[in-house]
Amino acid sequence: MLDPSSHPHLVLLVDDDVRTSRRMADMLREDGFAVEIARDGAAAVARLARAPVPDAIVTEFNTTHVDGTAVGHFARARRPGIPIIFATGYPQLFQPGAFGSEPPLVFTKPVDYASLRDALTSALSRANPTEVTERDLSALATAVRVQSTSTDD
Amino acid sequence: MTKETRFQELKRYVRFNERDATLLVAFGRKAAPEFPRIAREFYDRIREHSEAHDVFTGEEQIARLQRSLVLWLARICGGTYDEAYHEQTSQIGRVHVKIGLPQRYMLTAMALIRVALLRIADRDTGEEAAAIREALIRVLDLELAIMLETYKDSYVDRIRRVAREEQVDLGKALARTEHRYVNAVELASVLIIGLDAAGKIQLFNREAERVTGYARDELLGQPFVSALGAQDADERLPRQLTEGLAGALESQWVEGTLRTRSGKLRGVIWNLAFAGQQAGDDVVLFAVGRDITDARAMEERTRQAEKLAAIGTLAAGLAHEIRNPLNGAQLHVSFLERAIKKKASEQDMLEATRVVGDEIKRLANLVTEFLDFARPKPLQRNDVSLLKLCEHAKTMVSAQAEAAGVRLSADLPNSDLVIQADQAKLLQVLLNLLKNAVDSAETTGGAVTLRLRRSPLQAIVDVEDDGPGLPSPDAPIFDAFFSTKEGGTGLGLAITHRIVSDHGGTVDVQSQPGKTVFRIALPLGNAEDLAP
Repeated sequence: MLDPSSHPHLVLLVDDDVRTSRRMADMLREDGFAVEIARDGAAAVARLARAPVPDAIVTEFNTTHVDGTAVGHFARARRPGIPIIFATGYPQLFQPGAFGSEPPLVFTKPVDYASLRDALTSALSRANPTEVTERDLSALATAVRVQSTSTDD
Repeated sequence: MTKETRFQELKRYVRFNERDATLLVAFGRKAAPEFPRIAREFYDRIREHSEAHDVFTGEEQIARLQRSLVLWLARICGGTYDEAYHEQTSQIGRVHVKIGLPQRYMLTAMALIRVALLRIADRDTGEEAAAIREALIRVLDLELAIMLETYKDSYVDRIRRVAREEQVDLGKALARTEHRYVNAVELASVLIIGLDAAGKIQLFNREAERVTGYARDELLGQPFVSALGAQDADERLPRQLTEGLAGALESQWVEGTLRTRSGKLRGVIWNLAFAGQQAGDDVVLFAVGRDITDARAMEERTRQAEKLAAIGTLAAGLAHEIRNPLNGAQLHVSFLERAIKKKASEQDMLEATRVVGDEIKRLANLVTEFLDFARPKPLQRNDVSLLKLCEHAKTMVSAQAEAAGVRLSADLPNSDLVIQADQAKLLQVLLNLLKNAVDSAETTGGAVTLRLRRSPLQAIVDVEDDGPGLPSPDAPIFDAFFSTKEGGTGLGLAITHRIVSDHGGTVDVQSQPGKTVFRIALPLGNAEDLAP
């Protein structure tokens, strides 16, 4: 468990099921995290482009507009080594080689909250993420456009 | 006493004697210097007659023959008229046949020679002149008689030889043709069975042996139907064979089964061809069959594999759709557990309980819709008034539309359209489309229009909304578990598509931001004729 008095880690939750995301955010906050929610992949990318860049990301693979894998890549581009956890109904979409030497964790829905929280805590304690400067952002955005499967609404 | 030769007999006939021989020798000595002239004039005359001239190959040959003619003239005045002489003369007749000189030219040519020689003889007025003339006439007629005789013999030989060669050629051609047809029948990878008028097997090819396991000797003369257990469920094959044997085939194609020697059943597609009562052949009907057992088995395996693949895709989609509500329920139960432990507010706990209940309902609804999609009940067709159905559907959705702030209107014809259809299922289709349209229009606070009209052969129902439109024109919106709506099962349009297809109709969509039209076209007339 993290020390709530210290600067809390910021976790970004990405899932179309906002009601469940909100409830999970409540519980994570109680457990000492700072939490933000994105209701689809595009919103997640938009949030990741802003500072402060989250310290960890929990996402579904099957997200609207931009899929979870692309969101993960964008997050890694913004903050190399950022812990990524996929909480998904489509575990078969996970490609182990897609994230290099620091593969994300994959939780298959229904997710056990305590296990997910513990995994998040342990990943954050290992990670030493460094934020990428604004200078690199345009190149990263290009990379995401290529990887994403975004569709116009 | 030795038998008189033909030459001796001829000489006796014309009374050619030693005196003639002596006279001819004397004549020859005197006439010899003129022989080259006679020969030249002879061939000059031939050049004037194209048919005679055509038998020669060229001037070189003519020059050679001219020399031969000189030698021949010398020979007939040679004084020796024995069998060797006869043989040489015979040779001339054979050569004429060989080069194809018509017989009439032999006769007329001899007239030329005769005139030329007699003119020379006429120059002498001595007492021997008449005798020389007679000797010349005798020897020339002997020549002619021998030449004609051998010409005829040689000609007949030649005709016989040609006939014999033609006979041999004909035989070879027949053998070749037979060999070709036998090969075609034996090497063909189709069963070829020839039946006589009584339906008994008279021809049984190699492929038929291979497929049935019978040797042809075992089956020749046996009735086709009983020997091979050839049959099908409704006895079409035996009936068509009977028709075929009578030359009154209704359809050439018929499917049946064969019982092989080992008792296995093979499926065969037969093509029956009536040959009729041909002279000398008792086969009147050919049954040409293709063994389709393996192909059918392959098709069945492919169908099975495709079915399994489709089930796999469905199962993956279903799993995801189950996992999401389970995830929601699970998380809220975790929250409740924590809330109970720390005695949280009743409001929060009630809210979490409600969510769990919702998720369970969502799962139950998913199971119902999935079954509806995966195992649809057969259509219950009745006369359905599309006008009333549209009005009914509009009424049922109006409350939802009002709540969403969406204007719902209907554009319906004055006269009714009645089709044979499953009313409940068509209502489900209309409700699906109308609810989707209301959801879509809700984001813009817009309008939904339900339209019904008639085209010559179809009833057309349009559901139009002015919402943002489909995310992509290529989105597989009719695929199971494709959904762009939060909380949707992704089965609504898949079910819609299935129901409309089952009615023999089509459903299409045209979408752009501000205007999306789902169009259902249902066949008028007897829908049962069009649907499977």
